[in-house]
Amino acid sequence: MAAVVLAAAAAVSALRVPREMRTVFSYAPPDVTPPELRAQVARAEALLPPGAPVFFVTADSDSWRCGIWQRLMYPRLVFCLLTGLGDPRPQAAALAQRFAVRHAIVMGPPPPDLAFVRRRAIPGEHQPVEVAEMRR
Amino acid sequence: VTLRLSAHLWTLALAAGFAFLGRRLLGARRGAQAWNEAFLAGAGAAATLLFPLSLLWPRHALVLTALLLGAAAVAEAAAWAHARRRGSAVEPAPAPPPRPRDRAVLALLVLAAVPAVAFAVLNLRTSYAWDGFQIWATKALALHHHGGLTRELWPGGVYEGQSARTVTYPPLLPLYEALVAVFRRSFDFNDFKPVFLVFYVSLLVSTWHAARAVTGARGAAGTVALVALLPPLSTSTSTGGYADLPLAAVVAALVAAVLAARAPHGWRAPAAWLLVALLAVKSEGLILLAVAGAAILWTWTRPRGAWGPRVRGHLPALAVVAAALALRGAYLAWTGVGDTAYAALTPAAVPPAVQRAPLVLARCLRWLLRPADWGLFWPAFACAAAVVMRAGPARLRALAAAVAAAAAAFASTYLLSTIPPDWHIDRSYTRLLSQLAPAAAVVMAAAYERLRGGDAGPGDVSPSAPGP
Repeated sequence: MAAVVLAAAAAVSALRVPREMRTVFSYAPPDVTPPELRAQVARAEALLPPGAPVFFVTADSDSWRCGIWQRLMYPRLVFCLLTGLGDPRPQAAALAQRFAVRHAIVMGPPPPDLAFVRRRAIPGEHQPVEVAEMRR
Repeated sequence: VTLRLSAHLWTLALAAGFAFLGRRLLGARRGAQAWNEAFLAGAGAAATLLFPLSLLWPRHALVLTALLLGAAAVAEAAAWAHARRRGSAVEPAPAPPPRPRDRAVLALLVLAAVPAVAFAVLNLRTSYAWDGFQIWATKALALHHHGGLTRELWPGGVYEGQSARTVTYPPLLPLYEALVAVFRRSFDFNDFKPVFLVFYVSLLVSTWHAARAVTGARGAAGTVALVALLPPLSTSTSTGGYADLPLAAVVAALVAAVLAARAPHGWRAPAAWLLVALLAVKSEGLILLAVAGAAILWTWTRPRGAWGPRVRGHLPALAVVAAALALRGAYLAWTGVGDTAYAALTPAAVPPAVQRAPLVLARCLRWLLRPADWGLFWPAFACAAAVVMRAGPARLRALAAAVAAAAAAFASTYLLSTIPPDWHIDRSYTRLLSQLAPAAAVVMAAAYERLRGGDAGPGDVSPSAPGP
């Protein structure tokens, strides 16, 4: 009985570990904040007023990539606007008023009209972004 | 695979610092398990103290914790020098464990080493999975930036909604990660993966010692191999920076401590400090503490009679746990952030909870019995628990019942989930079960010993030696 339980665990492990190794070595980034991304964040920081809160606008429907920017720009306040979850304009208006947000980092396709007046592109190895200023 | 030598060295140095602090609390004992217990107890104590330190010195609590570990290292060195001068002031070393001449033992340990190496490779090669990055390492980022615990994850963090609750999560893992950053003199998310290697080794060492309390070397080696082979502990989110693996390590150490205890240790009882560590790692440590506490209290009633004197011997240990509980409650109150993932247990919440009970039960059973994750692990545990409950000593019966009760308690939390329960269960129940796996494996080891005619009774309680 003990041998059967152990053999079953060994079989499960023998199936799972190679599969996970293949996935990890083929697809998983070894670095959650690769140097090229940190350089891109630094270029965006240079275009923003020190400490000013910003929106991070992306067509994603989850906050993983926005979360990375949030953490790399910490302690600057970065608010995720995920257009993949719906129209972000009501949320953006409320946040802009409450936290005096005047700038945005835009990743991916142009979002709905959020009153951006000036955009400056920041190339990136994986995903270019734009730093935008919002109409007052 | 990323090998950052200085991150590894600082991680090990901090583990030693936690162990030195633990030895001030538990007393200086020798042997691998004594050091392992001291590491977890010290880490739990440091994480628990972080909250009062953050209240008193909000910007310096992290540095003060580092100084505390340094002071513990100095005290350890002084005690060592003193012991050398006096011959041997510390407790004499237990007889060294027999070398594994048994080929079966060796084969089983090699079998355990294969997934352990796979864990090490996956852990160092993978960056982070969701919670490992977005919650635990982020809490470390905030702790490192502010120098102490804060009431908000971000300034103005009300917008974070569901994420805001993570500010209430216990700080043991973020503390360890933030201390690595303090000594590395910069915060880099990539420096923290070695921390999980320490907890993984701790898990296997504790499992060995817990199993040795109920079975021979062959059974213990098989138990270690079984735990190491389980994919939820050696792959997946365990390699993604989650806190479930550290919590499983504390559970394993707690089981080892309870099964090994022969007499009350007063406030130095390892089990008491490991219960404190449970609270310091993850929120569900509170559930585990309640279940483990009930199981331990029950063993004090066995055999019947003389309940009062037995409890009196443990009052200092109970006070340690009560103080940690009070600090945890105060921390939750201080943050003022409710857990938006769960509804409050009010009369109005009962009918919907009852209505979703069949769904929760079916979904949890599906994950519990999923062969791709567990093989035959949980059905085997059910059989082993039946064997132990029929004829096992009190502590083993309590352990089997506690594992089953904790698995049920974890499942019951989904009755109040504000997240769609099937989604919630799919993403978390396997992780919660992985916390219980080492304890369940020890029950299997005890049943194995009993079925082969051995004596699985070292964990039993005698009237004169009332346990942990």
